[in-house]
Amino acid sequence: MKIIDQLFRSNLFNNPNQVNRASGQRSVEDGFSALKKSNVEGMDKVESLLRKLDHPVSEAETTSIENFMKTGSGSTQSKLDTIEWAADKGIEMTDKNLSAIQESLNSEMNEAEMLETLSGAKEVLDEKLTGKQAEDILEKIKADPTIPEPMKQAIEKAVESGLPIEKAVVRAVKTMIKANVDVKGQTVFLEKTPGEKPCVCLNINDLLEAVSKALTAMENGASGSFETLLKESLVDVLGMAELENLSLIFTGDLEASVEGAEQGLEGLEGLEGVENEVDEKDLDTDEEIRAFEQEMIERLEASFDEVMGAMMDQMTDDMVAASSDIRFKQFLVTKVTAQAIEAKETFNQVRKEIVQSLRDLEPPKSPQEKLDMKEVLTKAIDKLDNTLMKSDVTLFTSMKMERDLLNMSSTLQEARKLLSKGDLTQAMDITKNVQKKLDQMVFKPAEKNIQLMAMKNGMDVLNVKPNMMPSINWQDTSPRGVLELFRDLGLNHEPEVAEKLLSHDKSMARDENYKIKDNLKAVLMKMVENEEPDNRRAVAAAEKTLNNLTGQQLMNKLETKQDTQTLFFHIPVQADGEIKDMKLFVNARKNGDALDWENSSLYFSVDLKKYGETGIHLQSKDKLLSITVRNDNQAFEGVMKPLVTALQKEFVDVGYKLGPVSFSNLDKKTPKEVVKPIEVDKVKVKPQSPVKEKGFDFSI
Amino acid sequence: MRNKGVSIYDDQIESFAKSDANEMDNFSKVIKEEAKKENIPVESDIKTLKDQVGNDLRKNIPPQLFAVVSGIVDVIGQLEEEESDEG
Repeated sequence: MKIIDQLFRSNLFNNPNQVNRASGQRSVEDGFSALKKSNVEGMDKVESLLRKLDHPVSEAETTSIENFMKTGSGSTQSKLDTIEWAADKGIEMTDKNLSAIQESLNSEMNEAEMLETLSGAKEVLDEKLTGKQAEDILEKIKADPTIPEPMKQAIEKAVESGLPIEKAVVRAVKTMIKANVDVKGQTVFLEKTPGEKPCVCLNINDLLEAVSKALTAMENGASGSFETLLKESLVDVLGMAELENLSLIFTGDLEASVEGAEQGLEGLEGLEGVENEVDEKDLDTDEEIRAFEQEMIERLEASFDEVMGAMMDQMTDDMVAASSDIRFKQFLVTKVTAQAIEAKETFNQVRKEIVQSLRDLEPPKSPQEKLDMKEVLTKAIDKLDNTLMKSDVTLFTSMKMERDLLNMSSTLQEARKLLSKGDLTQAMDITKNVQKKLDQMVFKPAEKNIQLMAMKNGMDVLNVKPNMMPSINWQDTSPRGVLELFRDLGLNHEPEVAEKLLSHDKSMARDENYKIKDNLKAVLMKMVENEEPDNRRAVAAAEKTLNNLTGQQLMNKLETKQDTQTLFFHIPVQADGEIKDMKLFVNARKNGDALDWENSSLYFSVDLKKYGETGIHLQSKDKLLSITVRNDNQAFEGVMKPLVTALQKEFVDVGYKLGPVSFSNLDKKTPKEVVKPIEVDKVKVKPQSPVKEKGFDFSI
Repeated sequence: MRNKGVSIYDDQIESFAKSDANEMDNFSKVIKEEAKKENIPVESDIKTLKDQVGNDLRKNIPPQLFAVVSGIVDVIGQLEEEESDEG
């Protein structure tokens, strides 16, 4: 409740003290003059740029701009570009923001840099208890009367023999409740009763966190044995549902389950709980679910070697040993099966809701009925888009099914448009068509995605850090795959943190099951926070990459007052074992809170090994998609043409219309100039629009 | 769906995102404090955070645009494969 109180009851959002950031204590004209008067090189150009953009700046911003022009790296023109981006986006021109945009626009996100950063991250994160910190902890443990004497001795002895304090603690815990903790490499198997099969499989860091919580609880005088306290902290660390889920899976006949794992896992009685949950919702019959579960288990079994193969590259000997345990396989099979069942359940629910709402539609007879139908369509489109972008459904489905769902979203948008134009018959026709198609659609996980899911869960439980290395080619690149890549990089980290912090379950308690997706940015921030003198090089690399990511986030902001938007991304494209940095500029009209894909322009720029610099420009006008490929290599058109032709078909599959394809040489136009022509056409597209073309309404 | 509790609050986040700079400042301060309590790393400069926190790519960019990007990424991957095939 706390955050809700803060947000809604403390008048934070009714702050009467609203100051126009540009007005401050000086007039707009004073602001421009201050820029012009500055003796820093290039400031006169900044002044004319900002005047042209009708973008006044505050005194603090003037100082930051001066600093940036004086000490920032790069040419004067590149700095002016950065300032223009900030002005376009309404981003406050602070030292940090300008430097982040500059870094992002002018540096590559290359493989070597990211790997270096990540290897640094691994060291920092794996050995965060060193030197003085470790000594302090040991002293604390020794001085603590609540910790059992034998455990203290065991820890001290282990540390004396050269073991890091964390490992010493794990070893001591293991010794202390020996029969219940089994550590293989970095993986910890917890057993319910001595000699039983495991009920929880987790990585050492989680155990450590739980141990330290349990020790703290002991210090604070909590009652109960260390073992009880440890179990309680584990619930905390793993999240209640996670623990319930796992014990649920392993509760039935465990002996049979594990043995069954070797011959097809038919003994998985434990999954009954999951079935019941689905059953209650009346979505699939018992038989259907059982068959699906069985199919998932068999498919996972069949592809397990492949999954292990993909993981092997990134594992240490310890991890390989841990993963060879039959229980590891058992854990992955049950976990991924449960996730797939959950995704199927989600899909069935969405399908049922949309089909039902569309089935009830009849041709509207009054303006009100027309509005009602429009609302039904909008809700269905939102549900489809949400399923595509936010649910686990598209993490499992085939590319074909993902495109089909996308096509349905596009088609319903078309129906909504026809409805507005008064073409009721056609609007009804295509709506009913979508209803029929969706009704017949069956959720079916794709082979590659099942394997990817198993691999990710495996990496997670083994705590493999290189798992953080973002790349997209292990699976076929799908629309959702691109979003996941951006999320892996951390480009969506802050909004997701806000979403987590504002998320609540039914009882208004914070939703503890909402986990922030592991991402590069979060790791780098931790690394910079834990800065250690030994690791200065890695920290510097981390800061550089962080700056780049921050710059992209700023440039991807949708400015509410602008009619068209320009966005910028770095896309690490993995090919042939190498990661290339591809730059993407997007320019699109705004459609409500999102970009208008029907009227958009995308420019991709990448330097290819053989063919050199390449630009691909895709422009959609009312869905008619034209493609221009720019490259100076003579052979390029011959190679590229068939690929582009195949690509066009894919684009038509998701809702675009076939437009012309052309090839040309590179010219001197900057990507931003290439991507922006849509703005020139804006007058044609929206002739009556009274909205100002550029800049902000700074009427003071 | 995984994050069942979220949807009720989506609208609020969206309306914050649309609110003016001063409100975003305050909202960002709350997010920063709460994130600290939960030990979640988050951008520490409010003047940067305020322009990140309301900008959810899952909502701002329609899936159709992601489809275009994935198509191009795929083609680039295929081109590079051909490069290596040829030697």
